[in-house]
Amino acid sequence: MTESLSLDGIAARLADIVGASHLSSAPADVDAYGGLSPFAVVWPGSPSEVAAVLKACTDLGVAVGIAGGGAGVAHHWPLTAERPRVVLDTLRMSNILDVDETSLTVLAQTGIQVRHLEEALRRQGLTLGPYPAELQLATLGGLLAAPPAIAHSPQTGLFHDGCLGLSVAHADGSSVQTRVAPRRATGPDLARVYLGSRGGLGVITTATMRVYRVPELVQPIAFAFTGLEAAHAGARELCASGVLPARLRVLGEEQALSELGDAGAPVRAACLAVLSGPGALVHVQHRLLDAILGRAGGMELPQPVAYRWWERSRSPGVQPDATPPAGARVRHSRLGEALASVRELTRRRPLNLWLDELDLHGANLWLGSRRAGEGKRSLAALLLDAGLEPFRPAFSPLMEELRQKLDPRGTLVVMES
Amino acid sequence: MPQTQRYRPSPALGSELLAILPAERISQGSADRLIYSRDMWPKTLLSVRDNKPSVCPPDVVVWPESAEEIAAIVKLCRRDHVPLVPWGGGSGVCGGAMATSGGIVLDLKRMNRLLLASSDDGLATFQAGVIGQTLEDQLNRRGLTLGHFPASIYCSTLGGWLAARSAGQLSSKYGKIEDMVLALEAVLGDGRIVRCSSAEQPDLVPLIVGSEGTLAIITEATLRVHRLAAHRVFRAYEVPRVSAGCEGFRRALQRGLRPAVMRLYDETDSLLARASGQGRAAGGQRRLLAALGEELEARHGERIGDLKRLLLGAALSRAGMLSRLAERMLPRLSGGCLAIVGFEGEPSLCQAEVELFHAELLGVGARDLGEGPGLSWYQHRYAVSYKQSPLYAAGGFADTMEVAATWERLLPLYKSVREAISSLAMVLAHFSHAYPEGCSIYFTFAAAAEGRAKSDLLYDEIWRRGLQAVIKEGGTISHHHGVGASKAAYMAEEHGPALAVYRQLKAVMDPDGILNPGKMGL
Amino acid sequence: MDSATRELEYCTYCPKMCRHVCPVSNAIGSETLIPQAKMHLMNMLRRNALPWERDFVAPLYGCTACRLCTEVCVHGNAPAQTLELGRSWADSRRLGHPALARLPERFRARGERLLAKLHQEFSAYLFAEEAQVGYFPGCDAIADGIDDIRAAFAVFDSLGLNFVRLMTAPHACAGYPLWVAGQHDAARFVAEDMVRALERYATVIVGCPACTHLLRERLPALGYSIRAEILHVSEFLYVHAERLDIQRTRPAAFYHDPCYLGRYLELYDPPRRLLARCVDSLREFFYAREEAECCGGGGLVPHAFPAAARGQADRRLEEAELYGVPLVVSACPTCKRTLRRGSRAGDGSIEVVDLLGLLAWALHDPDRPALPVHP
Ligand SMILES: Cc1cc2nc3c(=O)[nH]c(=O)nc-3n(C[C@H](O)[C@H](O)[C@H](O)COP(=O)(O)OP(=O)(O)OC[C@H]3O[C@@H](n4cnc5c(N)ncnc54)[C@H](O)[C@@H]3O)c2cc1C
Ligand SMILES: Cc1cc2nc3c(=O)[nH]c(=O)nc-3n(C[C@H](O)[C@H](O)[C@H](O)COP(=O)(O)OP(=O)(O)OC[C@H]3O[C@@H](n4cnc5c(N)ncnc54)[C@H](O)[C@@H]3O)c2cc1C
Ligand code: SF4
Ligand code: SF4
Repeated sequence: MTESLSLDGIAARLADIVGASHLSSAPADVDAYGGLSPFAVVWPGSPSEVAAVLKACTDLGVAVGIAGGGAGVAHHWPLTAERPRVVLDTLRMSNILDVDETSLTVLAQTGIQVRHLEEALRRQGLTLGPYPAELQLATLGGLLAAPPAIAHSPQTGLFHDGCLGLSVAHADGSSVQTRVAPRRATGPDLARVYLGSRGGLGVITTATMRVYRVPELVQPIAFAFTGLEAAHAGARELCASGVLPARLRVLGEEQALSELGDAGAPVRAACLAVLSGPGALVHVQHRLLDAILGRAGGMELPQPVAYRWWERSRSPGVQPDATPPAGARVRHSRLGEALASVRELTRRRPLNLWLDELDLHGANLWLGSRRAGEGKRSLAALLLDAGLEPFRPAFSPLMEELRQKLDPRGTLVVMES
Repeated sequence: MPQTQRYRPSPALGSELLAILPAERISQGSADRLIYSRDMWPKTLLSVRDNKPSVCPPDVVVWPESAEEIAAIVKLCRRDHVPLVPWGGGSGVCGGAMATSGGIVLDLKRMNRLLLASSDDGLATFQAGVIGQTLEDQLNRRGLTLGHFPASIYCSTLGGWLAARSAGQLSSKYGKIEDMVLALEAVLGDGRIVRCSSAEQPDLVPLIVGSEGTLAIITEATLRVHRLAAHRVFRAYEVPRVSAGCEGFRRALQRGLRPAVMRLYDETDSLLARASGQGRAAGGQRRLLAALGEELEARHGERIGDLKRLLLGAALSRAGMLSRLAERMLPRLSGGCLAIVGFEGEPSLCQAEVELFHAELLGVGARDLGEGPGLSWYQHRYAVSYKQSPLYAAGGFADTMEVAATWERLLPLYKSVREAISSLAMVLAHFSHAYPEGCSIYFTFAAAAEGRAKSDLLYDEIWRRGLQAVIKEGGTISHHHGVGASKAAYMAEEHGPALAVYRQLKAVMDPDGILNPGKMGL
Repeated sequence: MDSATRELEYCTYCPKMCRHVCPVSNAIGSETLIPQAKMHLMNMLRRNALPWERDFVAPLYGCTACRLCTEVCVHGNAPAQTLELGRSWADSRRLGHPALARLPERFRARGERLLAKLHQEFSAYLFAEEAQVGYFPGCDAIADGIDDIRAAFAVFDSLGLNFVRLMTAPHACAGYPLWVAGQHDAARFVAEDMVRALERYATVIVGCPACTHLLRERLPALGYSIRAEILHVSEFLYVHAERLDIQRTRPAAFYHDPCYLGRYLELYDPPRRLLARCVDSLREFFYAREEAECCGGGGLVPHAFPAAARGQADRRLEEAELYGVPLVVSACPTCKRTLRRGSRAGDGSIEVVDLLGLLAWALHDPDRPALPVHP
């Protein structure tokens, strides 16, 4: 049953739930959410408030866009049919509910920013894992609902794979919570329904994440190569050997220059690795890595170069490039070919090229530009021309059907890319 | 047995199937219907022992050879609401592959081909009906391994592994099957053929995986494969108590060590594990039996002759008491708990990990037993699967309850389950799938009762009490055997309101509810 | 519990721990033909938990007697042997497999035909009623491998072993098919005839591995007294392997271990020693020696479950195809015939030959006239 109320009436109803101070229709607040042009934004403070807001919106025929930190492209919301829209911002849902130091898990509300969660964990000698600093401004909910390709480490895998359980509020106001266990064989992994659902299936209100002890030793290492292919071959061999670095990147010439600065000698290509873990293990891994990258034709760069790179890449607030890079997943066996065609297409444009998120199967090939005005879309087009498929999250038809079951009235708005 | 409302086959079904499959791939024969009437749910053996071998016979068995054939069969079943039960190796232990409402059993074993293996990309694609050991052999021939070694590797299939979220003996290093799968092809309950991959978001793969045939029929899977390990090392320890062993395992894993094998046996299981490696009843087992024998003699003035028969037969009817006795006597008998670890891979890495692990275990008071017990375990790693025969033949029964919890909840869970069932059965436990955040416990219980009816009752009661204890302690009712028919009644408690989401998935993927009806508490 | 009962009970409660090796079920994917299911059915029949009906009995005939399951069974169970007993029970209830109807008569008729063929193909001087060394090629060799028998004599001659004579046997076959069919009465008649004939030879070399096993191990175990030394032809020849005057070789071949030669008689190396002389590279199947897959030809499975036999032959040759080795060699006439029925041999992509034929070929210098051929 849809009631019809004026916008003020809707706002009043929602304010009843979250409290008047946690709802705003002020242009300054509302404009922050760009494309959706909501008439109001609500900041619920608890999972039950979230559920109540969703239920009210469904009952009132109001569309809801969910906002986390807005680090993603929060402005690509599709325009829904003519009906009132609100934004549900998770900002206030930023409590850490439990840190289980025995099981190494943290239960937190999903509006918490990753850097705040990380800071709190660090105080207990724990960490979310060796993920890139670029994620710091995102919220936990944002990372789970729209996992970026860069949230990956060869050592710990994808960030969202560390999600052991979560609770969700659906459009009809119902809530579910998945049981936390290391592994289960009791049907589909229902938590996975929501990972990557971009706000379209429900609001993730809390999540239990795996955490790690702060590593005993961290060792950045940089190798120079005469070409990207050789550097890739070395990195691939590393992945197959069982040495699992916390970070692993392969850089083309331009990117090496911008990340390493002056390395003392010209670097045509580089392989950067960060080993971490118990000291004794890191030493052995280092020896293996030396042998593997050496065999692939690499030359180790002086330690200060590696440390400098590591420090710089860790400091929060690294500026995202003027143009966000575009990337595509490529299997190892096709990487040589892919590099060749990308290089062919970029011969006259000085683009930055690097590989990241390497695993046993392949890597992400990234294209970036330091020139302003080089749109992300044109980079993506370049990848397409090279026969690669740039990342483009989209609901599969089945997920779309599930969305219609969980949210038949279409209250929740799925973000587009 | 859980007989749900039975489908009444239409007489035309056979001839309509003939339009899809050649006659030799359709059977309504009585031997086929009998053999496909049960899986390896131990409770069905009570029925077999009672001379009732046909437990839940399907009306028809079919052997398709392609996803297209399956899609055509599904469409036929949709029209007439015919239950359709996917069947792999029938090694499931929860009645999952049993045609509890009749209908068609769809055996995938003719779809058993390796479609692609790439050492460069670390992946291989197989059809779902391939038998585990055959799959591993095919990879080994090419210098590769999946790293998945369930004790049922000889008798189960890839599709069954995926459908029931199987775990192998090297899971600490290689993960469970759900950690190994990258992409799937499956036929949904509405006849659509879908291909999905973990590169998509949201990822459909972990939703089809684990669905035990209730959402889709898996026809093909792309898996992560590794180079065959060049090197393997074992170490064994004696730890004073289960809690100390768990502590050592936890610390090691949380430091980032990834042994391929991690096994911790509780006091009772340790005695048997030590004995079994040596083939015939040896040291520990004989000591246990001898001690039990003495105690019994003392109490009842009975003379215990054949100690082995004691364990397997008559004595099992007093299993609860035996188990309590065993627990009381263990301190006198046992050298604590046996822990086995094994590492594989690059030799220097193995060596470093072994040393770090060693230090962790010494830190919890463990005593080094060298490599012997580990090697012996490895050599006999599948032997345990053959052991149920003598027990059933002697009139007893046994089953396994594999549950899991985070480390914080693990020991309370262990104690509660033991307490809940040790008055009914002899209980052994080992901890063999460990993760940084928690661990599974694999309980084995053995008991006996007079006659079928009493055995059935006792069997059900053990499960009821055991699973109630698991749920109370916040564990999961299954770590890798699945739910099937036997645990269906516990799904509501396991999932709470989230079960509704599973039902929605079912409504999307199998709108008519023809796929494996009556299972998973849907 | 007698041992058959114990086996049946154990298999009944077993979680199918040998199903992955059974060639019959692997070839057609049927659960009903895995060792555990066949034994289970037999056990239920034994217990009268099932009616003695054709449909329940038929699976007992789906066993090539390859003994692979026994290799992996921790209890050492031998379904090959137990199922044969089951077939004898079925036979005594007139419930034998329809494909084996009137087997004794057919056996006799075929035997007479084959003996006649043998006598027609080889001159009388090669036969001896009595000899130091008699040669008993076996029925499938006469039926489908007469050239391999000739090849055997070429090899004997080249080694100066010209005292070997074809055994004047009362039967073309020592009776293996009757035993595996569970037709034990008929089998005993043949056995008695054979035992008498064997008395006139000090050594008998047998071409067929199944009959080698029968004469050397099974009949004596049943109480028949056989004094002659029974050797498989490869066993007889391999001590001379180094003396073979090899003229030419094939580049590579896979060796297929026949079940009876391998798992039953444990003769893994003699045929390999010989084969190694006539190929540059002796290739081993992934499943070799104790683990060698069965070609699908034993136990009369090609009669009762022809699709299974064909499917298994296909599976066996797959590996040769995978590695691009177009030649597979066996030391058993039945294996050769069964493998040749597979599609890979049928379409000519893989050549399947008998060891004896290949040896004779290798001994022949193509620049010189052919070796004398008998007769
Ligand atoms: C359209 C799109 C484009 C992107 N492009 C890039 C890119 O170019 N480079 C890059 O590195 N990363 C990109 N990302 C990923 C982005 O970095 C991550 O999504 C990051 O996690 C954003 O976190 P946030 O807290 O800022 O979330 P937001 O940006 O506010 O939200 C991200 C998405 O998640 C949903 N969401 C947020 N919180 C919740 C919750 N608690 N429950 C349910 N849904 C929730 C939102 O509705 C939205 O769809 C993109 C993401 C999206 C959705
Ligand atoms: C002795 C023994 C030891 C065991 N040890 C282990 C062990 O170490 N680890 C472990 O994880 N398990 C073990 N198991 C349990 C069992 O082997 C697993 O559950 C296995 O995954 C089942 O595979 P299967 O092919 O036999 O499946 P089945 O028993 O045939 O089927 C299991 C379920 O999956 C469904 N299914 C089968 N194939 C498909 C398909 N292609 N698509 C969709 N649904 C399908 C069926 O309908 C059924 O619901 C053991 C079992 C036994 C008997
Ligand atoms: S032969 Fe052995 S392994 Fe095979 S079914 Fe029988 S008991 Fe099991
Ligand atoms: S002997 Fe061979 S064919 Fe017969 S049941 Fe055993 S494995 Fe199968």
